[in-house]
Amino acid sequence: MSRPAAHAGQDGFTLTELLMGILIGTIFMFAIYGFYDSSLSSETTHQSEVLAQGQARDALNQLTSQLREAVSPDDGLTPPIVSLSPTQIEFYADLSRSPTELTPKPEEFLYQVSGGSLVREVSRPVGAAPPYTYSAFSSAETLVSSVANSSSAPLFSAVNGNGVALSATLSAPTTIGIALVHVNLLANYKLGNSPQQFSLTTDVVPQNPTSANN
Amino acid sequence: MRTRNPQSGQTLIVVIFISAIAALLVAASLSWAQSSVFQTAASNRNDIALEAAEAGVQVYISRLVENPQYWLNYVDTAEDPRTDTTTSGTVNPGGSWTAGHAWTYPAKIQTWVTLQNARFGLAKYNLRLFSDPNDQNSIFVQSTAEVGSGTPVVRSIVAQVSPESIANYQMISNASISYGSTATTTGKIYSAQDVVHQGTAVGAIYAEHEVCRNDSSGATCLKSDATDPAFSVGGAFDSTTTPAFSDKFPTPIDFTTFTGAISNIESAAKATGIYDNNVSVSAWEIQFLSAGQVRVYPVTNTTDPGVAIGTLGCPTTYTLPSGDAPFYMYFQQPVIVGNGQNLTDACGSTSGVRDSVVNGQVTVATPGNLYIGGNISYAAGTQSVLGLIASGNLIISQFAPQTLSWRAATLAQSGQWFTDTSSATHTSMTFTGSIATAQGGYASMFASRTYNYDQVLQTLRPPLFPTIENSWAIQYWHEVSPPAS
Repeated sequence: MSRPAAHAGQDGFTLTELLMGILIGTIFMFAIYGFYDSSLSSETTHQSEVLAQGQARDALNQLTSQLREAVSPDDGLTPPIVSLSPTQIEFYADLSRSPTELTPKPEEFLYQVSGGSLVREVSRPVGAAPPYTYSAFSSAETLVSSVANSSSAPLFSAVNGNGVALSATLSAPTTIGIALVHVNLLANYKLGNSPQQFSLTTDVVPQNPTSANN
Repeated sequence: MRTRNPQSGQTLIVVIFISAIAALLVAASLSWAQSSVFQTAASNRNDIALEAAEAGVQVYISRLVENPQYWLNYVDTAEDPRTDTTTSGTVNPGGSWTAGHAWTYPAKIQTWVTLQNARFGLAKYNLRLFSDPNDQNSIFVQSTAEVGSGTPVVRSIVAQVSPESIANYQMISNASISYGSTATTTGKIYSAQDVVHQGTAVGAIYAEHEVCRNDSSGATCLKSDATDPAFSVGGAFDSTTTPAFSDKFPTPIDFTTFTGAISNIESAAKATGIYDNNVSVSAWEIQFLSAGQVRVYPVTNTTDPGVAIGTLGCPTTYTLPSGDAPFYMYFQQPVIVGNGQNLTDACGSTSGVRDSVVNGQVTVATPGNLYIGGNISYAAGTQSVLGLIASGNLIISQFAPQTLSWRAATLAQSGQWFTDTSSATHTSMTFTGSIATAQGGYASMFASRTYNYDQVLQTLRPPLFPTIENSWAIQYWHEVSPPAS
């Protein structure tokens, strides 16, 4: 009795072939997994970086736009910028957007590095006309959650009208000498599981006059 | 012979799988890159829009430097058409305007002037002007800029623009100025010669010749100390620095130009304020009252108002306008502000010393000398300011209080700012305000002297107080919602 012809060509793999195939397949799968894991890590890093940069950029835009509008709350008696140090700046700015409102009634803003975050606080003016009174700061808002600035890596520094650097810590009335504020924000993000840092830098020229500026 | 056909399909699947993953990664990267590009472009358009709006304001300031009356006489080429509220006529950009007429603008922006068409799109700006109800020297310029097409970025700013007042300076002098080692000056200081400053300067110092510390001889600098740390906050600018005094003041301040402002005050006083001219009186004494009034006394039988007052006539009491409305007083004879000696007027209606509490915005001017005889302060909680202008000298009288405290923006247009005697017969003087004096001065009648700059003068200037030629600058700047476009 002969074997059926249908079985021709259906020979199985030998055990050696099968083991070699599994081995090669495993190596290949490991390579693909490594590639996938690396892509995932890269995506996480990108996402973390994008989020951190977006957050930092938004914070810097908000800070610069408000600082640019810094104005005295009492017709010049108090300087627009109350104080400046490597990790904080306090100033008055009127953010009302009505073209017909021509007399400032500014809020007081405090931007500071607190607990490793960049935090903004606001104090609202009380009274119908200057001099306004200001209560304690409230409405603390975290703008950038992981900031690396410190007194040795200043977030804020200032120069006078000659471009000469002013003291690291300034308070009124010497803040009237500020012609430009240099902002250097150091923010953290994660590269995989390791922390990384980037910096965003900008210069702000307060537009409203102080007595020291010409 | 065995066939190997069954193995070729598996290789294809693996290649397709890897290709799909690679394609996904490339697509994700491209999407991320595109998102970054859009974000960067939007951010740059935003910045350019603000810069273009700023440029619009600066262009308009340059027009005002050339012609301070430009906004009263012309509709700028970047401005929307003005509709005259008097005649209802419309004047298009570039046309002439009738000075004194008020105007309105259409609801939507109609005029755009192109600044550039570069990488981030077309940048253009529009201007609208609004007069300042409280200060006829200043104007509000609203500049709106649009960048990009499709959904452009639009930003708008309002800048209050006015010529710089001499009250913006703590001291302006054609002569050399000297400050002692205990002095801290917080306002700007200007001298057409030298500034010798042994104390600390918070405000900027401008000296046409030199700024120095203490190596002086008779208030004359032997060498420049402009880079001394004592001047580091506000900066010091003289003939040796970069930028130099001449960079800051291409045209030095000319005291003769202030006569125009004095004439304007005389006209305004005749029209709506107090104008007195009586050749039979020696001087006029004035006293401001906290209720928003001013008493005016004719003074007779007085040979030197710096020494003593002879006869104080019956007073006339005037009420100052309320709010921020300006008020002007002009006297052809010398003016005395208050008295520190016990005096009773000829009618017996008032007696004692006469201190002033100003409640209003007032400028007092005289073609002669102006004397300070009593304390001067501002009513608390008010937007008050006082300007005192003497075409001659500004003199602190001998009958001023032993401890004198006074506050004002002052100008001795052609003379000196000084005490009537140089002997230290009085205890102390505290002055808060600004000083402009053609020939310098002294206050050695007081054993102790304190000069404070009044920071309020930065933004609140006495009505029609003289301004510095070609010095248009932004006084208040803020971003606003743009008009419809």
